[in-house]
Amino acid sequence: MDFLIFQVPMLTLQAVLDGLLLGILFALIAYGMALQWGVMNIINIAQGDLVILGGYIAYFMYLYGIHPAWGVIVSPIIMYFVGVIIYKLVINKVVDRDLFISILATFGISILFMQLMNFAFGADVVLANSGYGTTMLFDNSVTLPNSKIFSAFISIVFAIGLVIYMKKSKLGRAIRATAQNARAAKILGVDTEKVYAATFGINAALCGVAGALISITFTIHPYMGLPYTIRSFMIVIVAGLGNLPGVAMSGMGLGVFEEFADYILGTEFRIGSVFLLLVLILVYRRFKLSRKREYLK
Amino acid sequence: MNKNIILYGTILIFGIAAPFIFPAFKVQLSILCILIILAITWNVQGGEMGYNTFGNILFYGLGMYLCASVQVGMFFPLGEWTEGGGEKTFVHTPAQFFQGFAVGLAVAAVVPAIIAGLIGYSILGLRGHYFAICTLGLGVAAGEISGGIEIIGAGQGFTTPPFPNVDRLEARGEFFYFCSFIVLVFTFLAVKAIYSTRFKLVLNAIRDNEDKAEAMGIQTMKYKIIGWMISAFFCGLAGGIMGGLVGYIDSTDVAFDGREMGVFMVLMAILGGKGTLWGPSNWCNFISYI
Repeated sequence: MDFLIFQVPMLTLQAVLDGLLLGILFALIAYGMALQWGVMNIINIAQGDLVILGGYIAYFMYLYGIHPAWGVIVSPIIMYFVGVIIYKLVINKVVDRDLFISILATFGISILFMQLMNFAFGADVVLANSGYGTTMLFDNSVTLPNSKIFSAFISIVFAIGLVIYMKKSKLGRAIRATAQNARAAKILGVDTEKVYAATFGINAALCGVAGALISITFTIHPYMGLPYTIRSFMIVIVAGLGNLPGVAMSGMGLGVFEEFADYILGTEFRIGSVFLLLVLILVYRRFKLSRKREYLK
Repeated sequence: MNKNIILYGTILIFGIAAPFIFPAFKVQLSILCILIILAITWNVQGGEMGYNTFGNILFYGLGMYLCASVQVGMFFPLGEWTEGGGEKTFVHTPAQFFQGFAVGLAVAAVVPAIIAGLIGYSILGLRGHYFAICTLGLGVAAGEISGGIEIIGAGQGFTTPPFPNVDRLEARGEFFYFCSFIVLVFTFLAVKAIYSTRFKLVLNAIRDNEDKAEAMGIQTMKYKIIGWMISAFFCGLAGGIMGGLVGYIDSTDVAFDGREMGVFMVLMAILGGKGTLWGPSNWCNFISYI
């Protein structure tokens, strides 16, 4: 192996640290997906587009002179209502239907959002400058933007907050009950329709947080949504539904993988390698299961 | 039976006469034909076999790139062509153009079918939504990766050979219209012939209950792969013609356009009715009309 990245240990360290900080963000998005997949049995292709929409909220705050870090507070509140509206308009019609119908419906939402954002905000790549500066480590050989550390910290705070909320609050318990058995929960007086709406809203709010953080740390563009969806799907299937530490671990693993793919294959193959990894993981699991004559379903 | 012959005959005559009745809409009519081919072949997979795929766009884009590359590569160096403005320095004579296009189409049909056969064993073992997401990933991955390969134009796209200079102004539109229409008729007849054999029953058995079908002694994997190869064959053909028609290939917006073309073909087939031959075709008319 004569790649530069393996000869210079500091570069390796840089890639690993970048990947870990990035991966925590992915894990936050994947957490939202795991939540609604578990509760409503819906795969939301529009997940990534909700992330990008949340990012644009932070970006517009930045344009109007407010520090974009406040987007972490504002964006989830707006996105919660966006999520509830999407649920009321589309998702409640497909929630007990075939899974493929829900994939198709959310695919439609995704395309609609993509085009609307392109129409409303323009096709430029934008970022909200937080002005946090960078931290230098090891004689300036490893550079970490403070905004990345900030975003990882905020993601962890939100993830832990949500876990506690799901355990302790009344709504959290109702959501978990619905996830276990929707019919029984309904009989015992849980308004499942409300629970579904709240779940979708919480998922959208998580996407909003992640989007605001992405607009601070990286860049956003109306067409960048689909890779985020695929990443979160991949993290969820690797970790398994309802396995939160697993989601965090596989999220960070994906982040590190992506940074290394970026160095070794080149930036133009970065997104491609993510999608290819998804296919490889699915095929690997299919062969593993087929030995027992089972299949992924 | 007699009625059917009259019906098919009318449609055939209308199809042949269409470019002369509506000369301004030749490009739209050709796109309509391509869409019908895509929806009919998606239906082999999604409707009859119950394997909902977003991945047929992979074969469509592959066919598009292969057809154009072969057409250029047979006569001129491909790398110099794509590096910039190759269509200005190298000019196909009419004979070269048509010869290249024919060979290109043949390659564009056969190679995707072989690729479908090769990856089929791994991918078709997945079921339900895992299969849908996996094929979606496959299509988008192909788009992103082909956007990074230098020899087929990378991110800046690939200009397909311009139509040679013949005396008639209308020749380009008519040529591509009749290409797509002939392929459409061929596809329709082939799929109809396939549907009238035992093969269709096997596909339906797989859709209804794959485990039981396997228990009945059907080698489901073999049939699934053959079904996918049939789809890939016609998708590649459609892609090859579409590449020539559009005249410009971009990796994510024209060839592997999984977000639009890939969803359209699913939508057309589902709106028109899964598992029917005419439903997809009729809805294509409607969507293409919009």
